[in-house]
Order: sequence, then C-alpha cells, then structure tokens
Amino acid sequence: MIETVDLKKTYIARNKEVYALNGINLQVDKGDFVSIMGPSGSGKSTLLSILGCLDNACQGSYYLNGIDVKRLKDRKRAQLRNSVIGFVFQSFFLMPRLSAAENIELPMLYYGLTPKERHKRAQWLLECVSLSDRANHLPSELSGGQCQRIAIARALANDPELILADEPTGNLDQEASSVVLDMFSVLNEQGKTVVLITHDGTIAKKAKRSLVIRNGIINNA
Amino acid sequence: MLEHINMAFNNITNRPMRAFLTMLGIVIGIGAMVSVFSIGQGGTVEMNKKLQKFGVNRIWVYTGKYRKTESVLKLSDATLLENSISDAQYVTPSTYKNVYLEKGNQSLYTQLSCTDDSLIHIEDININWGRFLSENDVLYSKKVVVIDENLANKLFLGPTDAIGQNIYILGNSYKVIGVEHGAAVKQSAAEYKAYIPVTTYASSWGSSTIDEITLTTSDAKKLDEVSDEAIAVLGQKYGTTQMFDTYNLAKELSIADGILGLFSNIILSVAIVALVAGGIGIMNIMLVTVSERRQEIGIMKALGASSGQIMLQFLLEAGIIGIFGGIGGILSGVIFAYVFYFFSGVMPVFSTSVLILSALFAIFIGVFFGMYPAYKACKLEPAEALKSI
Ligand SMILES: Nc1ncnc2c1ncn2[C@@H]1O[C@H](COP(=O)(O)OP(=O)(O)O)[C@@H](O)[C@H]1O
Ligand SMILES: [Mg+2]
Repeated sequence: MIETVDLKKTYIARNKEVYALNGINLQVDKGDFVSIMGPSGSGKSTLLSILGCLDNACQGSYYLNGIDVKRLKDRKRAQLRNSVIGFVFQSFFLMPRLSAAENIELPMLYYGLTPKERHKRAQWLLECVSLSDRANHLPSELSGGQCQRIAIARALANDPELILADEPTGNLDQEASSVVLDMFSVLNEQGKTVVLITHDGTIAKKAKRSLVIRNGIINNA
Repeated sequence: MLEHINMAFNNITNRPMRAFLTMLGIVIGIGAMVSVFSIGQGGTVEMNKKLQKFGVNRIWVYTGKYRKTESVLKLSDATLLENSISDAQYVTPSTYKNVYLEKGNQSLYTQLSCTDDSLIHIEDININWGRFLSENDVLYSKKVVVIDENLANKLFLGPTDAIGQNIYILGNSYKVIGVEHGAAVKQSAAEYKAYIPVTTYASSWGSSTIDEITLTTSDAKKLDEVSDEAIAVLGQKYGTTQMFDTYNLAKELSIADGILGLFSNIILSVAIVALVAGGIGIMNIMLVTVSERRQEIGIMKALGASSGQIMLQFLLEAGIIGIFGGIGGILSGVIFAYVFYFFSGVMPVFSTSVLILSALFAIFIGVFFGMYPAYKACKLEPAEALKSI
C-alpha cells in the first residue's frame, strides 16, 4: 500500500535549514494498522502530509499503491486525496458553516455523486458513528468527541483504502478518546489500512505495529 | 453546482455588512449607467418630440438672404413645389401680419397667420373648439378666422360663445370657426394669435406675394436634398437661384444631439470608473477572504477538491456579489431616473437590452475581479494552508 524510500524534507526558517524528515524508509501493507509515535517536533505531521499527498518530499520517493506520487499532476493527487485517502486531524478541521451531514457529503460532492446518493450515504455514515440525530447541527453546536466522529464519517465518505489520522484524540477527553480509538480498530478489522499518529504510548498499543520517530528518523519500537 | 452556489451564499451571508459594502461600488456604477442611459434615451425622445413640433423636418423657403429683400414668392409657387418635389410631405404657404381684431368697441393687436389647412399637420396647434381652416376655406377664399383662447375670452364670453360669431379685420367681417387652446405667441409684438386662409389674405389685402413657403419631409435626413430641389425648381421658374434662400434645423439638431451625447459620455465614463473601483473593491475583499479562509481551503483540498472546484467556489462568490450589486444598481438607477423625472419632467425610457447588459456587465466585473483571488486560493499548497492559524 505504502512504500517510502529515503524520504527527506527540509524547511527553511529564518535563513536556516530545518530537517523535519531525515531519511524515512517505511512500508505499510494493505490491511495493516500502524501507529507512529514520537515527541513533538519529531516530524510526525510532516510525514503524514507527504503520505496523504498534501505535500511533497524534498528528496526520496513515495509510492502509493505502486504509483510514484511525485510524478502525479495536481489533479491526480486531488483525486487520490478524494477517494483513496481519508484524513482525520487533531483539531477535526470540519467546515464551520456546513452542517454535520453537509461536511460528510463534501468529499462525495467533489467526487461527483448525485445529491440523492450523497444524502443516502451521509445518513448511513451518520448512523455508523451514532450521530443521526445531529445531522443538521453545525460543528460549533457539537462536542469535541462528536466533531471527531463526524470527521471520521467524512473520512469514510468515498470508502477510501487508507485512513491517515494525525493525533485524532489529542483534543479529546478519556471517554471520547476510547470511542474514537475503537472506531479505528473496527475500521481496520473491516479491511482499511490505518496509519495513526500519536505521542501517547498507550494509544499506540491499539495498533498491530508501532513505530517511533525521532528527529525525522524512524526506529522500530 | 447548486451546492457550490449554496455554499457561496453561505459564505457571503456570513458577513452581511462586508458583502453589502463590497456590493456598493457595483451598485453605484451600474445605477449611474442605468439612469444615464434611460434618462438620456428619454431626453432624446422628448427633444425629438419638441423639435418635431418646432419643425425638425421642416424647410422654410423665402426671398433673399435673411429675408432682407421684398418677397417675390407667389401662391402658385407653393403649388409648383408641391407638384415637382416628390419627397415633400406638406407644402404650406404663409404670410404673417400684425393687425387689430375688432368687435364692438374692443380692438386687440394680433399676429395673423395667413396660411392653409396643412399647417395643423406641421405645427403644434390644438383646436379644442370648432375646427381649423379647411381646404374649402382656402379654395373659396372664405372670410373665416381661427382665434386663440385669449382672444375668445377677451372678445366673447369664452371659446364656445365665440364659435359662429363675427369679428372685424381691417373693416371686413370674419366668422370665427375655431378656437385654439392655450397658444403662445412667438417672436411678435402682438399679444394674440389668429389664422385666416392665405387666399382670403391675397384678395382682401390685394397682395400677390406671400412671405414664405414651408415644406416638410418625411425623412429628416433629406432636409438638405429637398432644400436644394426647392431652390432649383424656383430657379428654373424665375431664371435665377440667387433670389431665394432656405433654412432648416438640421445643424441645430446635430448640435443638440452632440451635446446630449457628450453629457452621456461624461457620466458614462464616471460610471465606468465607479465600476472599476467597485471591481477592485471586490478583488480586495476576495483577497482578504482567501487569506482568512486559508485553512478552509486546505480542508477542501484535503477532502479532494480539485483546483477547478476551489476556483469555481470563489468565482461564484465574486459573481454573486456582482449579480446582487447589479440588481441593486438597476433598482437604484430606475429609482433615480424617476426621481429625476419628478424634478425635470424628462420621462426615462428603459430598454430591456440596457437592463440585461448592465446585469451581465455587473456579473462580468465580479467574476473578472474575482479571478485573481480565486486563482490564489486554488494555488495554495494544501499542507501549508492547513497549518495556518
Ligand atoms: N512550515 C514550516 N516551516 C518551518 N519549519 C517547519 C514547518 N513545519 C514544520 N516545521 C518543523 O519541522 C519539524 C517537524 O514538524 P512536525 O512534523 O509538525 O512535528 P510533529 O508533528 O511531530 O510535532 C519541527 O521542527 C518544525 O519546527
Ligand atoms: Mg504534529
């Protein structure tokens, strides 16, 4: 599913080069559940951005389903983000002026589903995350845990193969966290490939495989 | 598409005051454009109507440059012109005399137009009581007179009373056959106005000449052509073209048209400047919006929105601002034109093509000036955009 070869990413900040990734070699098979753990600033989010086709590496290669992502046109990368990858972020990143249901429908809109198809699938996804009664609520009218469940439902909108989650429980309390984490486990059981980023060791244990990233380099835990 | 429009509306109504102020530039520009066009068009119609009454399509033929010499034109010349010039619509012989109209011991100084029945077709004469001179009146040199309302009130109990009664002109008795409503006397020492058949004048005064012959054309563009023809016809009869001269309003008409056009152009330039300023306002606000919504753009990209879809989203917002600015502009333009009508009496003429074109122009301005901000939005790097704030 995922293969990276010696990925490197540097940022220029205040005329100084900052190494965010320093040669990442990572392989994730279809159906795997990998957690990537590491302290703040170790390059977790940078790696996830590249895996999610949101950013390009400076050096090295990234193959997604065997495709060299660097060579893809913007349009193709947008299509990958739309239907192959589902994102879950720490701060939810729901569209603030769209209702829960509309947020879930957005990737389907970009995919080109008809309103009827979108509506039906959104209702079903809302049911899956047990939030059918909040379909018309705005994100500001939902709790953090509810927002994250909507975000997970949205990530599943176009039935992607790969779920990328960047500290999805970072803003949630204990109870909401465990609900959300259980969802990732269930999704993985249903066959989805999951890459979960966290800085919490107990959360990392939920995964089949745990990796640790330090200073832009991965070690097996 | 519908969803994109819906979201665009959502985003605009989220900040109503900002949206309103952004639209204002377009409202002012389109409003100015619509009102200038419709007032200008109304003004042209009004002016043409007035000039038509005054004689835009009329040619005066008389003797000598600036009428300085004794007239040699005869009644028969009018018939000659009528028969020889095919483009002539009405040919009217006229002579003007200032005389005293008498009844009982009253005597009023009056401008007397000695003419024929065709005059009513070419001048703004409103006969509200009785009738104007007829073909028979002229043919048989009848001693009949049409007087104005003031005369009827002074000499009789009023217009209805005047009809059928007699008055005296230079000792001859004339029967009143019609009364003209509220006529104003132009360029004359006399205070009152009356009409008699030109043939009656010829026999009563014992005069064989008339002051002028006027010709009208159905096509105002043929004024000069018909003038030349008239001179040529008279020249052939009298052996010289030097004796006669003509006058028409073609020059005055083109000057008036020019002034109206200049006036319209000045205001239109102002309107276009306002529209460009309005467009830059839209661009400015859209740029602010794009930087405010960087993170939202990042989310849209993460969810798989293509550059085209993001571009569409922002162009729609700019276009909707343009549409509503345009509608507001058309409404305020129409209202302003009517307010102007209230003060000036110039009835505006609204043409659908102008209204549709202004609406389209407003949308164009919105979309055109929204293009750069929309482009900036769709070119944002998704990872960078997500990180902001
Ligand atoms: N846009 C950027 N400009 C400069 N430096 C950056 C930028 N983004 C990330 N970095 C740096 O790259 C390193 C890794 O960042 P990040 O991947 O966000 O870490 P993590 O998610 O593990 O906390 C950090 O040292 C951070 O300061
Ligand atoms: Mg991070």
